Amino acid sequence: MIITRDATTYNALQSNLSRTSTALNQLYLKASSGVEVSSASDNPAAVGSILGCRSDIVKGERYVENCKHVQDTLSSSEVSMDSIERLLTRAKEIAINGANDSLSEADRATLADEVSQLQQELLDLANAKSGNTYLFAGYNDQTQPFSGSPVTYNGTADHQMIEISPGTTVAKNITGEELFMSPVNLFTTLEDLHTALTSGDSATVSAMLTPLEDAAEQVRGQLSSLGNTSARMDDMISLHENSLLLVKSTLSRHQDADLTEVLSEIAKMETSLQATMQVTARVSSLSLMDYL
Amino acid sequence: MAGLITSLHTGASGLYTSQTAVQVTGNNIANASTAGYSRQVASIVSTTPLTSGGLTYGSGSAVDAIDRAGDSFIVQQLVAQSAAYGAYQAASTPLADIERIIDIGDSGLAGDIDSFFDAWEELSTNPSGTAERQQVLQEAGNLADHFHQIDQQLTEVVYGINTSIESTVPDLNNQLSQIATLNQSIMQTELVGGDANTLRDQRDLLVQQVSETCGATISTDGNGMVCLQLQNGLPLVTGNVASSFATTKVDGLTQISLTSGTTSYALAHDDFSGTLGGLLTTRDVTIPQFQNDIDRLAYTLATDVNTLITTSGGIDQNGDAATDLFALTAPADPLADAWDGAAASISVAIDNVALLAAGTTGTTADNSLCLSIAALRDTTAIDGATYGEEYARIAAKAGLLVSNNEGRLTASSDTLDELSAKRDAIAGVSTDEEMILLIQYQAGYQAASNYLATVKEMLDILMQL
Repeated sequence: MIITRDATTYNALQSNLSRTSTALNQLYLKASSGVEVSSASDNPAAVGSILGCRSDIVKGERYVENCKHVQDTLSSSEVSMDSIERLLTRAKEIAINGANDSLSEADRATLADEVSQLQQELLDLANAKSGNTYLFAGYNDQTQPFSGSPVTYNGTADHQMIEISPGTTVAKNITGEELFMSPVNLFTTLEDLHTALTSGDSATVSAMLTPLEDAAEQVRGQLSSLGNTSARMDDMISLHENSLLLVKSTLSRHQDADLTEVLSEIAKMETSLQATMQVTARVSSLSLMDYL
Repeated sequence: MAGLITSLHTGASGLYTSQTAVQVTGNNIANASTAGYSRQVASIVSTTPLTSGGLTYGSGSAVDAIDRAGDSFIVQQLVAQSAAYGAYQAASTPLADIERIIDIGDSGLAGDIDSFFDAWEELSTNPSGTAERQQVLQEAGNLADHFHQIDQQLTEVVYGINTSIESTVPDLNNQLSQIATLNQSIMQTELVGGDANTLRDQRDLLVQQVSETCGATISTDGNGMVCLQLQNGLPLVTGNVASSFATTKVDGLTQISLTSGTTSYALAHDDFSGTLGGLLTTRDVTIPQFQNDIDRLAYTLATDVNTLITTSGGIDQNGDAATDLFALTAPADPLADAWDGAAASISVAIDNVALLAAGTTGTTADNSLCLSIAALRDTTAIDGATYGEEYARIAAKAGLLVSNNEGRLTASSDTLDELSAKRDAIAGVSTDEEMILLIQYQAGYQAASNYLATVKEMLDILMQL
């Protein structure tokens, strides 16, 4: 085979030079961007995983936000509910005092006055707001839920559900219905206590102790389930944060360039390019004409 | 016995032969870098011997022909390989464009789909919040805009391909008519015994270029004329007659027809290989597939969201039954797929945040619909894939097309290089080899001159007698 320098050799050198420079250029881009898969053709098989990971990150970050939102809303409710529990404890103390036979009419009237205060306070707590929304109103959170005499509930029995992991939701609110109205009606219970104190019959007052305890138990039951949900949110947050870390490292594995590998590849390619250039220079200096 | 005058003629023939050979060598050296040039060789023969006095003796040498080195088999292979190379080369730019349009970066459509559903998730935490509602409309608008943008950019790739086709066809026609003219010139030159080497080189090069542009099969007729046909058998060049291509715009697509004699044939992408084949296949097969995929994604997402809002009884902030969030224009053609043109027509139908439904009861804190819509992103809506997965499938398909095409382009470019090297080994000029031949012919010339001087001396001696 004749090697024609002008055609064969130079063509081969030329195409090698351009191929090596192109490869080197791509490596430079990878090293400077740190991204291995910048377009789908770099690794079509990884596209699904990369986009899936990005989507999971958006979702995971949202779930963390949602968990925190649920915790924030629940802790607003918790403040009011603690006050309600204290209020009921006070009512029970009043009932114990009022059940004493040696109490005068005037003393009972004073206690009855205090119960009226507590009734008003309970109504205020039941209409508690966080921002511009009522905490214990179900879906009707822009309308005052408790009013009238006897007090009626104008909210709904709905829970506002928040998604905290794929397909799993938790209620971020406690409805006025379950906290104040059913099964024990807190307003009626206090009203009954007030009536008992005013009627001056110590036996009737004493009979109020059990309903008052039931009322306090109803509030404590809700408080405890609220505490459980809040603790569960802590668990969910750390669960999501852990899985976010995992997804982010998976994304990086699919998408990011291994810098050590890229840099050593660059060194290899640069050597190869230099060699090609040197050979090109040497070939052009080889000619029979130099010796004629 | 031969006369001294005859000997003079013998010497002269040596001079002429060497001189001609030097001329051929010089021409080779001068054309060492000429594309498509085939090395020429002076074919030196001994002239007819003379018989005198019962002896037969030689009468010198002559160049009877200037031959052209070449191998018609390699030329055939080059023509075939050029067609494949042309197709991959032409497809590589539009395919890379498609891949760029179906972006997998952070700003790609996949991110907009995620953001759209995330906005609903955010609205679920504050269903009557104006900012959250605005965010949902904003993200819905971004999503619709991104669909438009993809559709628009794919259409621009189609326009680009139209322009490439329109600029390719005149050159191609020119090459075809040159081949026909060369066929005629070569036949005439060779009929009168001349060498048409240069013309043949030009013709081989043109044939290879034509094949790279449109894909052609080549045959040689009885007169040594090259005949070219498209791969569907339609004639491009027959003897000294060339067909010609013409382009017309039909529905925004540049269509090609071939006129041979008085008959015109409409041509489609599968009639071509080479550059035109690559361009037409990308435009008429690949891009419509991507447009269809993107249309279907836009249509499915929009109708799923709309259906959920209306069938679940969404109620807006005014207490009215909620209307569709996305508007789509149904295709004009009743036989077309329902999603045909959806990526171009999708838009947000609501411009007032109060018209957006977050729940189904009309109460201020009802977020039930937000949760249902946010859950749509995890439903397998299209062929067992979620919207995000479907987009990833489309993007991966584009990536696969690009990387396959790159691989084939490199392979066919390597094959073409190898064939060119083989052709050069047979027909290329090695300047070193030509220098050696030059020395050889120069020495021949000197020897013939010395011989003439000797014969002249002998004549001089004879004259002095």
